[in-house]
Amino acid sequence: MEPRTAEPIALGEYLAFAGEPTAGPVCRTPDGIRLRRDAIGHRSVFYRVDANGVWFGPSLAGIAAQKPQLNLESLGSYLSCAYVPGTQTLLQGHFAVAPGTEVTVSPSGQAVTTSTWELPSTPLEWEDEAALREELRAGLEDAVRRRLPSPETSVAATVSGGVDSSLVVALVRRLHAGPLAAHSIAFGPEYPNELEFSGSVAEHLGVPHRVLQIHHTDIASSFDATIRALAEPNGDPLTVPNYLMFKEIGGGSLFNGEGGDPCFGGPKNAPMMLDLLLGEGSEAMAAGYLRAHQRMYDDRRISLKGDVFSRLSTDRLEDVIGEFLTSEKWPGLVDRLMAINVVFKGGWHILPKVESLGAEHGVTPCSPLFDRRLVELAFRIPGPLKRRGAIEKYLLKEAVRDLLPEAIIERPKSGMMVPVEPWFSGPLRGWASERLLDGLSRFDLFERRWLEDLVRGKTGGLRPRRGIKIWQLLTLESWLRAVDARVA
Amino acid sequence: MKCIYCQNDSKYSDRIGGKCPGCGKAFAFEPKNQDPLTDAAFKAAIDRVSSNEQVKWGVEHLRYEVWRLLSAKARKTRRAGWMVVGAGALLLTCAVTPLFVFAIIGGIAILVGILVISLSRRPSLEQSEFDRLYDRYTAAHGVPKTAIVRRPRQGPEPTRIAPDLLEYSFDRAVICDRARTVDLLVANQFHFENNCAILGAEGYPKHAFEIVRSMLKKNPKLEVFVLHDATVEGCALAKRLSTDPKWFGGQNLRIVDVGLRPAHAKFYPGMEVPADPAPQGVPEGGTHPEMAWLRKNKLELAVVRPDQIVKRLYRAMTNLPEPADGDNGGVSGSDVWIYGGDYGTSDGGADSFG
Repeated sequence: MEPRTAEPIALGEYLAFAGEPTAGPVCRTPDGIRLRRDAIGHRSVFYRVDANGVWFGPSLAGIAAQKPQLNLESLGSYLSCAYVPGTQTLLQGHFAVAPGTEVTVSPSGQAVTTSTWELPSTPLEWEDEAALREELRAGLEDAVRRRLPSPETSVAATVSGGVDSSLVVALVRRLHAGPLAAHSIAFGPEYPNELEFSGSVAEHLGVPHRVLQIHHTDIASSFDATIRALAEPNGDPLTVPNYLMFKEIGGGSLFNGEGGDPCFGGPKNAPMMLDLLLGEGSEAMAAGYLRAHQRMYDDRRISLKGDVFSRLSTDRLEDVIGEFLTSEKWPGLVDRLMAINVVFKGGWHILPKVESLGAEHGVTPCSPLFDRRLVELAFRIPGPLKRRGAIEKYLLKEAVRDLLPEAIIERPKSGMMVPVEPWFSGPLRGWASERLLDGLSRFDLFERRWLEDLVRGKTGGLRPRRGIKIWQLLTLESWLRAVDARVA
Repeated sequence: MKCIYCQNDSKYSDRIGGKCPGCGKAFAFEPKNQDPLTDAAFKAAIDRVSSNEQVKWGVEHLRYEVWRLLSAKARKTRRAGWMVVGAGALLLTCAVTPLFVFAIIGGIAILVGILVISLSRRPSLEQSEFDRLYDRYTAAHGVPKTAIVRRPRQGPEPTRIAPDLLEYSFDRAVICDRARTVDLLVANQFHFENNCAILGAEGYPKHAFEIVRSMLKKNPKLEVFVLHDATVEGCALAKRLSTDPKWFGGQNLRIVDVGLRPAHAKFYPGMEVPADPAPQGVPEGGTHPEMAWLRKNKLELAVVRPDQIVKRLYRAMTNLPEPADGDNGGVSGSDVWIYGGDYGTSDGGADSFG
């Protein structure tokens, strides 16, 4: 299906059978039905087993049983992260295949998981920075080149104005002879945007710059369609803007800069270092990692009904994170965090999101910074070259310094700010209120008083982050409604 | 008196054994026995200092909150006293007429009013008295969950867990004159949210102090913020950091002083306390009038509610203007800025801090 990607996988086989019980020899081995997921997790695979056989497909909703039962343990993970990391899903008896593994379901229905790819280890020392920098540049070019269509085909790329997307569009410009357009998103003149920077990148590269203006009414009208298109619920406020961008592009390849932060020493490393140094010690670091998502990790106790809270647990999730954080496979903290980030944010969050939303509109998202070979190379770069002093993504920036304006290389990470706070305290407040107080309340999971305080802006705290929490819960409501879930 | 658990409003005679007749829970205080406040009032102070259980706080913050509460109560009493004096004066005026009895009542009223005013002078809350109240409250109701409890650090040294740590640095640092201010910021995740190291100037926290200080030196663009009490040493801290080679002396950094200064005392009337004798050799960190005030008085940062301390620091960080070229006027070494901010309206407590 995609012979130019780094790791062709037999997607066509299971995509064609998505939502159907297996009846033919697809993925059949002598031991049973084999479901395989690529190393980094570009493609999602979900499955469940019932009397009819093995149901599998790229979307959890697509294989869901009739009136499936909510898995409260995974609800805790969703609230903590805004996505569901791990092979347990939000539905009981429905599972995800982990990146870099294959699951063989025997004729008796037993599922056995085997690993097909291991995260590489990382050295602590290095000999030649220049050689590593050149190797990284070659790796970046290779990862982009292998994703390019034929030279005469038009290519699109998103550009936010940050380093990652800018370097990808610069490499595409350099390596692709055909037409290229850079696309950005803005939310109207009343909200801050990064168009000054994204525009300067496009101008520097001589690439046409197209800006998709997204209005709050677009968000409300496309919300349910977006959530239905997702592989699994994802409470990131960028889902709908991503969906609308893919819709606007309408087909072909769309390059993005996803992966730069998790793989090359992005800004989330510093809070974890500070937590290790100043917080409650290494024992509490797993909780710190979840807290760093800045979602609802600390709100679960006060937001959920008592009986629901008592039945959910993130202990297992914290154990998994704790194993990464104490592993001797990676000598430094930055390396360990990269390992967690590749697994969690790559395979369970970012890649499933862009891949499923792209597929909805016939767009092939190209995430070269999450290329398997490039990720393997990133693991060979010691932490102190990923982050030098306080400089984030040091070697990545040095590897592409000649391609971009200095102002883009030197600017601190900003991130695309979806204006959820003003939307939900302004024009979308009524819409959100109706969906949470009438819709989500129906599932009897959350304290109504807390939901009321949330939508009315009465939850306190130093950084209440109401908008992002409302978005996360709206996503949950929409998805539970779409699959007609029930809560035991 | 209301129970903080069941809200049952009971009479003294019904509170047998100091317990609520509604739910049986014990009260910590009994105003009939000369306690200065009720359990509900003490809990209200905790709710205020914690911004309704959203912010972590230290007992020193609670002490000032209770102090404010007692001051407000005394203010009300004084106001009542003045009203009685006024009424007495009015009656005396009426006594110009032959109504002699009015003159007697008026005179008595004035005496009673003066007595009430003199007995309700602005109170102070000594540390020992607060400790006694806090111990009784926690004995009855447990330690509030938002109170900062300093625990001994568990586990191995950070650099044993992560040997690469010393290679890295951070964007910002907050240096505090007191360990408890470090605890306040860390407990409220300020470091986590703002990519910001937090250290006590005198070596706190011990397990990480030298590690973090050496990490900070790896960032030539480090932004430094200083938080301190209005004391001689506190107001001189930013200057000390800018010149001491163990800190940032010889580096060309901007150091922003966000701490308390004598000018802030007017927003916390009556809460300044006598200054401690200043150690020898502390440089003057203020103007001449400031130093005159500091030699006699001090104002602790804990007088400011925790949420306001954090918000002021956050504002100072996010509103920091970009440095111009040659920003420090060509003087070699770090440059000290006093963060002004604006002074909002005060509720007699913390909202006035910038």
